[in-house]
Amino acid sequence: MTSVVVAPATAPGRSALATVRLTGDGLSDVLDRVVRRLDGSPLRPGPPRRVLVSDEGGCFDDGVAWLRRGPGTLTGEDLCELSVHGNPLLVERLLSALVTAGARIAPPGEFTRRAVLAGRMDLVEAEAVDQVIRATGPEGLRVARAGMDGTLGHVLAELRALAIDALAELEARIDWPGDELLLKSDEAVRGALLESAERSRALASTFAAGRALVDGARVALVGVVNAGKSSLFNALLGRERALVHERPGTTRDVLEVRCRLGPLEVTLLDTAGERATDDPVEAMGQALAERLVGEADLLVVVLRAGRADPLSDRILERTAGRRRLVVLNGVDQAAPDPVAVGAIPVSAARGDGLPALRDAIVAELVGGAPSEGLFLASARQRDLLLAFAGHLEAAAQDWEAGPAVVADGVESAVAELDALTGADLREDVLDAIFARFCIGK
Amino acid sequence: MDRFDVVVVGAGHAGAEAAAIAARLGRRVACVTFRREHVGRLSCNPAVGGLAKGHLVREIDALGGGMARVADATCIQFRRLNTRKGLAVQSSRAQVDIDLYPERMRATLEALPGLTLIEGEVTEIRTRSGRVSGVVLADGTALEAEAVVLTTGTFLGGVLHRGEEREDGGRVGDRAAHRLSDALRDLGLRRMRLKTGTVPRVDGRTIDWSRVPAQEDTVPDGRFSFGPPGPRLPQITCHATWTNPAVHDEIRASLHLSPLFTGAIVGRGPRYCPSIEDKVTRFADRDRHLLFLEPEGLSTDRVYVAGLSTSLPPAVQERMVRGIVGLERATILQHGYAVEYDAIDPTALDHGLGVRGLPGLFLAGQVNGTSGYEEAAAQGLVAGFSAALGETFHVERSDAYVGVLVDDLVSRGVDGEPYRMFTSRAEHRLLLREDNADRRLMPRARALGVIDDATWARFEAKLEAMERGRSALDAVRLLPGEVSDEALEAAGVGPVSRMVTGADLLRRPDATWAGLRGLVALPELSAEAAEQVEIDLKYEGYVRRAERRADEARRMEGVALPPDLDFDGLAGLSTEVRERLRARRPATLGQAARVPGVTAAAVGVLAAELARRARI
Repeated sequence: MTSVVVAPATAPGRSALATVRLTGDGLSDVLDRVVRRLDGSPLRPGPPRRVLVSDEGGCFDDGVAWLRRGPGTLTGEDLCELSVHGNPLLVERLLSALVTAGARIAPPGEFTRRAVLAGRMDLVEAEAVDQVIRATGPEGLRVARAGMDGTLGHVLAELRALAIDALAELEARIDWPGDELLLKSDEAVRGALLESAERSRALASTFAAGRALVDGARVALVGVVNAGKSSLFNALLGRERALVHERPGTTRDVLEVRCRLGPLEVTLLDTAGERATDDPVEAMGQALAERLVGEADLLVVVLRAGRADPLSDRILERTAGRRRLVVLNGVDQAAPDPVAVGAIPVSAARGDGLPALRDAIVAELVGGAPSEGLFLASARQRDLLLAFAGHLEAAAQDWEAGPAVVADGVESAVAELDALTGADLREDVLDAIFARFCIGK
Repeated sequence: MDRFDVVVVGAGHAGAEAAAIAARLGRRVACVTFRREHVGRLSCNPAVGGLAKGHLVREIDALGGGMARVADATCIQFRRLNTRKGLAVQSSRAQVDIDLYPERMRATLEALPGLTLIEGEVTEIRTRSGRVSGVVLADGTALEAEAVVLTTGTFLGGVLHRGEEREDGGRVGDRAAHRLSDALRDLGLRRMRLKTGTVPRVDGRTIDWSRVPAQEDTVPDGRFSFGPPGPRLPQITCHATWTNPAVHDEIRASLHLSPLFTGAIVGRGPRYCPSIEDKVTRFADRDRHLLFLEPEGLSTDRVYVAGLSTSLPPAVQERMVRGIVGLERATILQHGYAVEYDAIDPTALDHGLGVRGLPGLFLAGQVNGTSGYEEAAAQGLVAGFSAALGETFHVERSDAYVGVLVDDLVSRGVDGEPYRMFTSRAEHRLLLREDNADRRLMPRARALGVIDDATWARFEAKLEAMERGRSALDAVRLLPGEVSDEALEAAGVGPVSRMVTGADLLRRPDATWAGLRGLVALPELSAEAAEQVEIDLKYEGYVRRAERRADEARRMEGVALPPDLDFDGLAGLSTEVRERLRARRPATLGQAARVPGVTAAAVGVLAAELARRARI
């Protein structure tokens, strides 16, 4: 028997309606203490009904309740959606009445967790639910949808089938040697392992792009003082958001503004420029910038055209390992500098090169290796795919140790994939996933 | 009326092991068989062991069973299979003398104090207040017993088929046990119909041996048993030959006469040991199939034609055999035939092979839907231990193929075809090797008192030698230039570019203990001990990974499902899963996970329920 849990299903705030969901065994016992139909009779499973909602203080709102019997519900248990008027005070009072009646507030992800346990969805689908809720743009919704409608599941099933097929070949070599079976050649089997590994690595490599599509990306402008970062910031946004002055060190704080670049929701960060300073406020600004820059998905290193300086060289050196674009600002005033070959020439003042920069930012964040039109948006999925590929590659490498050892490696690989689709449900995996869901989903 | 602690019904490979181990454990045992000369009889091929089966034989030996010793004493050819496929899956196989093997097994049983061999047919199983109290023989004799082990093989409702001929019997020349089959049905055990078959035996004097190639890769001093080696019989040679398109045509033209194809046989045959009719139909594009000519013994001219299992009419068998190279003038001494028989659904059993809900009744061997002498013997041993000890003798899947076998039977059941062991059934295959069966199982058997002192002393000496070997390897330090490159090359270790230990050297793929002894200071070790040291080092990484997985599995097995757990009260289980769990009543979470149709999500529900109970 599972306990009855309740959670708001709609966002907090004032609106026409607010919905809470309840699920669990003994749901009716809880509901009967809080909800009655307009004629005073208890709520029973069936179509949505008008209801009165009360606590010990008496009736405090009316609404609509839809009670359905398990196991045909999302969670496989009895499930009720209850809508009242959209005032946070009413929702608060309703939750408190339901808790008094025996329900408990659902921990994050509880509804989805129960759906997985009841076999109503697998883990890939469950993660997709989370992504659909988080998605920041239409492309992100498409990525999440692929997890929900089985497109991703289909590709994973194919990868698994390749491995299982190789496993069958290995087992045949062991248990039916020299028999009537028509075995594939060793090269073909080894090739299938490597192919499956390669495809899963390709899929794993879409994670950065997939996450950017679903969650958006953070892009930081960095460079020496007075390189024109704030001018570029404003130019990209298309409005005067940052204060611009020719005096070096004008920007002291970090500015964050969201904007849309093609399919992406991008959070643009303007940072304090680098230089040696005695000013404690400017120094604090630089420290903050350093931390936020460290977390950014992409850096745009801004250089000033016609002005080579050692500090800029150091910044280029320091960011060489990061995903970055180099921009040469002020090409309207000075000729491009030979140091900055490959940099994108722009003029924040005149608007030259801005479309090219926008395209370059999008390409950098979501270009790369789109595998079979699919993007991963879950770090857990990426890690498991990489582990899967790693086991397969190791197995292929162990070929000389004999089919039993190779098969053992392939089994380890499949176990990773099974953890991905929930074919192997371990409690800690569940806990790790469901802790990330927003309440009630 | 005679009183015994344990009555074993049947004295085939399962019955003989069950009776012997119960007697070794000090119980008064009666073993009832139709005919005493049929103890341990080899009804099908004259061989013991083979892929995955060799593992079972070694495990039976390490647990105090008799099969390995009898096979060694009657071995007339010994081979190692899969030698190029990796250590874990290497198996041993012995041709044995078909007359001497049963004689030797019977002598083993007769020599055991407390064991009485009785000739007769058991027709009734008696129960008293919900538990087994004994059996009744056809002549009315009643035997009282605390425990009864049924090992009736293919005799329950057995029917033999040869072309359109049918006769009752579990084996050619033997009658069937129909009354006992009905008695089991009356006890509420579900029966299923299975089929198996055997090959024609030909007269070796009529084979043209010059036309068939001999099998070369034998291991003349190979043995199954970990015990002290005994004398070896003279060795024979097996030969290979092939079917051909003309023979295939002959078979196809007669398919309408095969009971397999006319529908006369209801039970499905094993896919892994197909009849020649099946092979020719299913692999239609192959123009030949491999056959082995296996002499059945030193004092018989009968030759077993392995690979030619058939139930075609005798006249067709004659034409078929004579179409084969080397057999052009061969005389068939016994025609191939198919047997249909009743087996019991083994999911009614617990992990000691006891019938759940009927204390004291045990089932072992082919009656549980398995095929093969080794599978039968392993079950006989488990049932014999359980019956004699009065408690479930549970062997874990991660400890032995014996454990895999029993768990597969009772957790998953048998699906339409007889169950045969394969190495791929063992998920902990890299740990369950033939070479370490003694290390895995013998200490447990010794603690129960069924391992003799001489065998135990050999085991302890081997462990001690391994220990000595390992310390010696750790003490060795070899610097570059200390030994010439030629010597290193000759020892199979290749160049040394920095200081290495003896263990580092032995870990290299082609290095052997013997080879290293010529280079560095290492003691002389027995071949077995040296092999173990080599294997332990070379497979260290794989074994460690496998052990981690086995530990995880053991944790799952360690999570007991409370007997009062009400599956119907658990939300989140589908009706189908509930029914399956109710029917099988798994004792642990691990067993539940292996019940067919139980999804991972359902296991999650069970785990969550256990966690919830633990919190309360």
